[in-house]
Amino acid sequence: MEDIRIEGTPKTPSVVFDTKGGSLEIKGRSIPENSIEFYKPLIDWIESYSQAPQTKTILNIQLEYFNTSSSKCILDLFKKLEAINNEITINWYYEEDDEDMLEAGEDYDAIINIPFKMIEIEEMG
Amino acid sequence: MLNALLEIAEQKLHVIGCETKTRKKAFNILVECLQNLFKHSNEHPNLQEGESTDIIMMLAGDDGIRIATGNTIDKSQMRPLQERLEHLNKQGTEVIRKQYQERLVDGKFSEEGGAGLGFIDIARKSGKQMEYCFSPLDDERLFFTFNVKVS
Repeated sequence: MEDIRIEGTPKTPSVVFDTKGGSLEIKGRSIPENSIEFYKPLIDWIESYSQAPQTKTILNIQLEYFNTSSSKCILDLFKKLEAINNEITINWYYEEDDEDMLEAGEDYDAIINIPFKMIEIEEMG
Repeated sequence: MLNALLEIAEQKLHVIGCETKTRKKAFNILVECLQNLFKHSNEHPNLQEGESTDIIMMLAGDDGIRIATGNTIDKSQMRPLQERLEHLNKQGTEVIRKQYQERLVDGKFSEEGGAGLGFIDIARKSGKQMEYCFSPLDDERLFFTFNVKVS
């Protein structure tokens, strides 16, 4: 299956989904008005990937901002990952002092049955 | 237009030089408020194309940043809106957080594409009482003003 590579915009994050490496990355800001339009292809991709996943899959998610419309789509994306039987890791990055982003990660961790690793980083560029 | 507004707001927030935490909260609330306006505003039919009664303001003071919005709504929209805001104003931060999680899991997207999380998120990020007012415009419409603070 084909990899996904999407450049970031002021309203949507950059995305790299690498099939062979089992490595997924979402980075930047996610504040589109229509989040379903943006996330549907990503969720569909994970669905296909889950048919023949790598033994280990890592999702690195590093968001500066996300709106409530994205939050629902991000949950749906995690749910697709949750359905994969092989090993999955989610690394949730947040900027130092950004308690809101840390809490948002903890909220997903409480809902989704995949271990989340909370990683504090210095301010994003 | 939304993009341009957000870009300007972000620049201003940097110029003010407030704490990163406050700046991010303010920007997040601004995004939700703007998207609320675009989804739920119900303009008077006499308005010409391109005209709008929607307003949004961001005010920086010594005690933090205030975000205020105003838009025209149908009378029927008032009760549910008022009930939701009254309810949120009564809850503590932990209860609001729990409601957010529940809504995230159960909530479906509405016709307008909202996840029903907007005001819960605003209440959560602000952590303060939200102020609001409904002023009658005519038999069918009200002007809804909303005001929230971040510090």
